[in-house]
Amino acid sequence: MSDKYAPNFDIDGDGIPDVYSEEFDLNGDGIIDAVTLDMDGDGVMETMFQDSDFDGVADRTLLDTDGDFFFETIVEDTNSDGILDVVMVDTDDSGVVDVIMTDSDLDGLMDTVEIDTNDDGFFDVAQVDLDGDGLMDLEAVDTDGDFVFDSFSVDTDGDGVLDTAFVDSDGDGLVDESFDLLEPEADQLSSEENAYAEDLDGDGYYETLSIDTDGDGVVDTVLQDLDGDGYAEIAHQDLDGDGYFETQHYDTDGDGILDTAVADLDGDGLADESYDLLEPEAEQPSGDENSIAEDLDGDGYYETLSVDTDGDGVVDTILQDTNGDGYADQVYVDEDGDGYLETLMVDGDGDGFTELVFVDTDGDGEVDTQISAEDGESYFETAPDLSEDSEPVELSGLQDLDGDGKAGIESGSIHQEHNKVYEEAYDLDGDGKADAWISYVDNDGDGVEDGILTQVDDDGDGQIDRVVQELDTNGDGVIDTVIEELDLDGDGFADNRTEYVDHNGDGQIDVVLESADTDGDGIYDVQTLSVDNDGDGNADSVVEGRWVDTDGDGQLDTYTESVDSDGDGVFETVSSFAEMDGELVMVEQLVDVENIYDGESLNYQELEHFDTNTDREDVSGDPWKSMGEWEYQGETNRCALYSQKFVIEELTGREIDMEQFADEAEANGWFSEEGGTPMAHMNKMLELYGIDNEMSFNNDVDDIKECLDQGGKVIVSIDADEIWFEENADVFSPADGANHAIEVIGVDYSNPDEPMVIINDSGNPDGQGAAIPLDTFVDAWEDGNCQMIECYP
Amino acid sequence: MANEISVKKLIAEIKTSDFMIDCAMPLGYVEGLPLLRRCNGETLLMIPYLKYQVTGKVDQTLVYPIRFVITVRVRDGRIMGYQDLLADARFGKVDFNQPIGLFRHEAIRGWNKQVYKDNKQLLYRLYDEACEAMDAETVPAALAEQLGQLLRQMVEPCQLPIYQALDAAFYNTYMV
Repeated sequence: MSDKYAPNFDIDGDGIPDVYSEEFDLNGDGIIDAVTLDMDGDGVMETMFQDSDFDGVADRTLLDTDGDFFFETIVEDTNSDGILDVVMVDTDDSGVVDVIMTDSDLDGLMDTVEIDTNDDGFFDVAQVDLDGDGLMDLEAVDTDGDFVFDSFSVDTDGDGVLDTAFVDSDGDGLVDESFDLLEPEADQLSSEENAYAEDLDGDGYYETLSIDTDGDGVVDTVLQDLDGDGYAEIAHQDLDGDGYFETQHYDTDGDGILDTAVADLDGDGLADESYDLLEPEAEQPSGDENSIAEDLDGDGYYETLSVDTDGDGVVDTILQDTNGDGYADQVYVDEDGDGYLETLMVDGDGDGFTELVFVDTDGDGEVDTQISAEDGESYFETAPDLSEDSEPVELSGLQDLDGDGKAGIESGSIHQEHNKVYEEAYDLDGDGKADAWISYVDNDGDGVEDGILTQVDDDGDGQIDRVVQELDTNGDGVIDTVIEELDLDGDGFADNRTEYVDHNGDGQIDVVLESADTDGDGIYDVQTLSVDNDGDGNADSVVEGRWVDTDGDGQLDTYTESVDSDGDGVFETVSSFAEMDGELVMVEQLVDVENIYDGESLNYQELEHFDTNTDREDVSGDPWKSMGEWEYQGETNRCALYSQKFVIEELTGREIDMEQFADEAEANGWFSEEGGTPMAHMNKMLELYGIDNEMSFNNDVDDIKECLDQGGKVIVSIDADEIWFEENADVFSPADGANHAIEVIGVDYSNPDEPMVIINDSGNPDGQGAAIPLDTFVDAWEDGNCQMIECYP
Repeated sequence: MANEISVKKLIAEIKTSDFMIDCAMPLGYVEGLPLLRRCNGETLLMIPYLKYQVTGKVDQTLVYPIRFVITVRVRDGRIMGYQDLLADARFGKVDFNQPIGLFRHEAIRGWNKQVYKDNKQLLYRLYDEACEAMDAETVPAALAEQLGQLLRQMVEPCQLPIYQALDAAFYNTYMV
């Protein structure tokens, strides 16, 4: 805020400034909007002119009339006519304006005065000059501080003196009582002697009239107009003058006439009589002693009767006629007299018979026990048909499935909504007892049910023995998983669980996982997983896992997994696992090899063979001679040994006994019957028999040709599958590696467009001098990184 | 940016390494689909080796148990471990010379050799990405799911128990 001193004023022209001022720009817009003045030159800026709305026009004057440096008075010219029409004064310098005078009709005369007598910021006294004569002729006072004027005094004769107080005793907004304030000793009551009207709720209407009818100084009658309709609907009377209102009168039908009285004649605080005030002579008792009837909804009918049946002063029974048919359909009972109504009996179908009893046995506020019909009458009028094509039958009366104390809607509707759970109950066998319960769950609150829980007591023994969960696990609005749990032995624990899953969302179950607790220890020990990949309804593969106790010590120690990979009902593989350090590890596998592989010879494709009529000039190597060394290795892993044998025999002329040869290799650790020969040892027997050789990798066919042309012999490792089964694209293994050793005995270039590699393959019964297309050979050879062993005499 | 990690290349290099020759792995053992492990700040590739025997009949290629495992450090291909499961007590009752299952299994029944090769190629690329992600400590959920889905499809079911035994964490993450 910027401020600067305005020029001083020398009003009387004596050369001495006699008005001092300061200017203020309160909103910082560069325009002066407040000026303070010290008019009397006493050093106190007692006057401030203010442009409170920043429109460039001064509209407010603040005055420090008592020189205490505090502007306690504010005057405004709201219509800018030059005449002040609002004066606000903080009379006690509290910082709160406590008097406001207003010229509301802008006639130049203040006609309204508002006074905040207690400095709470609210004006509790208002004085009004109703006739504009300059004299206040009405004063309204908020006597009880509820911010509503409840006391009015009027200057009826216009002499400036408030002389009359007025009362609207019947609450109709019209004055019906008046009091002469100037004559306080006069009888202040009108038609009712000793009556006081009160606006207890501060709504501006007197709703209570207290009357001392017998003039003994004690109010003995109180009339109450609670609904503000101008008619008292309750009257309290202390007829015996003991100061205790023992009688309550009610206008039950709202016609303005008190028609019913309830009396506590013995003064024990409990109503013990009720009367029809219009028929006072008729017998009125409810039939129950110490009872209180209430019309809580004001419809003119008592719907609740509270009864102290044992007269101990504590209401122990409450009867409720909730549907207004005149019969109690709900009865709350405090049977144990602890003051807590723990039992609720419900007549759901209104036939006068209790069908359901809910009890909060532990008094925790939640119903924990439910008792079904005791009257032998059928509770469910119609047995529901839960077949697929039928709609469930609506039944009256529902269970409190979630224990919230609400038993549900008595009739006409299925659903009881509690948060996001909808509950239904069914009596499947028509015995009057609910035996199936369905809960609908909307877990994510999107209004779409994403789970349905069905619990069924199949055998009617009161125990749930089947639970079905239908779940929309992916939130697409379609049930895709159904889990069914069965308690077969009735011990309260599920011992069979089946999970049906529509994995691919095509509406068909394609995965079924069944778990069974066969020994009843509460742990699923058998699981079967069935998969229907093609959706034909038949399992295409089945895996069964089962825990067994192999050592008979009562502990499940081994898990056996059986696999039926083609769904034909035959387990091709069975693997056993034991738990070690918390993990399952395979300890054994059993394979029904015969069911897999019938043991017949490998189904080799037909091979070509070297044409011995080929011109020698077109052939590298001497396949004519080398072919003579070939032998079939049979179902052994001796391919590398045979290849070395072929070479040794051809280069040395020796005949080698294969068994001795194998024994030698095995003894040296270069070979095993089970595993065959490691690549690193493929040349060891050559060395043992003195054959000069060199193993190398990443060779090409030219290297083979060169060796053969020099009279050498060549052993290579290949992926035999590429040669034996290449023609069938559906017959292959995942492997890309050398698995076989052969001898290359020649390369036939007689057809330049289709060179052929001639081999002695001991692993193929038809492998003598087999002719392999060069491309095929190279593919097979590359899987062994084009390894070759060159052998020279 | 070119992918510096190549699982396929790592496996191929082992094949021709001196170690492979010196370890005397019998002829016929070929690499299976590897496992990934993160250990002591290093990303490791566990390559299982097993035998297959083609019988010439469709879907009746014999599958033998994984016998060897070579563990390789991904960042430089250094061989960090070699296991012959014949010497592992957990496999004391396993006959490594008897088949335990068949190929092609149900999940890939419709794949011919080329399709299998193409999917294997894809799987190797996913391995490469997973290795890179592991180096950064976390494999994104989407990548893990993609890798797991293809792996679950391609691994012969009869091998699953062995994979579980070899690395339960990898198994639980990608193979179930």
